[in-house]
Amino acid sequence: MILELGLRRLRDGDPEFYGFAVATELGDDGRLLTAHGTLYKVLERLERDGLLVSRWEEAEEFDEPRPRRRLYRVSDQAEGALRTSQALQQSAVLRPKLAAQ
Amino acid sequence: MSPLARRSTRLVWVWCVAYTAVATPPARERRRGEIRSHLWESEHAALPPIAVVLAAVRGVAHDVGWALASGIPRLARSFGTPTPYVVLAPLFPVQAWIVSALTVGRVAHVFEGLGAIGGAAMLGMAAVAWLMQRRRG
Repeated sequence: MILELGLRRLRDGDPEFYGFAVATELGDDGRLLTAHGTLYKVLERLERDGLLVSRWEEAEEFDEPRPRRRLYRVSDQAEGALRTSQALQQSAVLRPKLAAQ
Repeated sequence: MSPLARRSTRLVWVWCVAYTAVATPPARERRRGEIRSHLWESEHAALPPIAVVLAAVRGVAHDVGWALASGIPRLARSFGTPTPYVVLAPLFPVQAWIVSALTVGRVAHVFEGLGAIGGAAMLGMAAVAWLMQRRRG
């Protein structure tokens, strides 16, 4: 879900996103991911797996007095990984016996 | 912001500070920074206080898992230094003193022995850890 969201943002020309935006965009569809602990753990894991890259927002990037955001964007590997994952899921649906082996 | 919203945000923040306390400094700073920002955004999006608290509650299991994964290696590394042994050493005689004040006979003797041996053993371990630390430079 997060990778799909990140890739959609990349295509829309606004590649960077942050935790709260993910929670808001996923809304009820990603009910579990909107839990703070789950969301930030997943983001960290995706980054560790090389599918996301992150950085702290710089002070000069925003005007309003607010805490800086941790900004994420999908890496070059993300699209391929997502396609592989979707293909594996598809094969599990089409050939459940083979997927179970 | 309503007092209830402020209270719920503070509650979530206190929980964040508590579970991140065991993590390594970089992991702690990162998680706290993210939650601080998330809570600020939640407040300014005027999310209902109950939604903010529930979002934290639903993630508690993952918070604890994250804290353990981040904190255990750090704790294990600290046992390569004399500090934990020096801290633990006086606890042995103290527990022996408490038990022997409350009980008599064999139980008291066992705990007094444990207090003497355990305290000395901890100081011995502290000395070994200190020597090994010095050797490592």
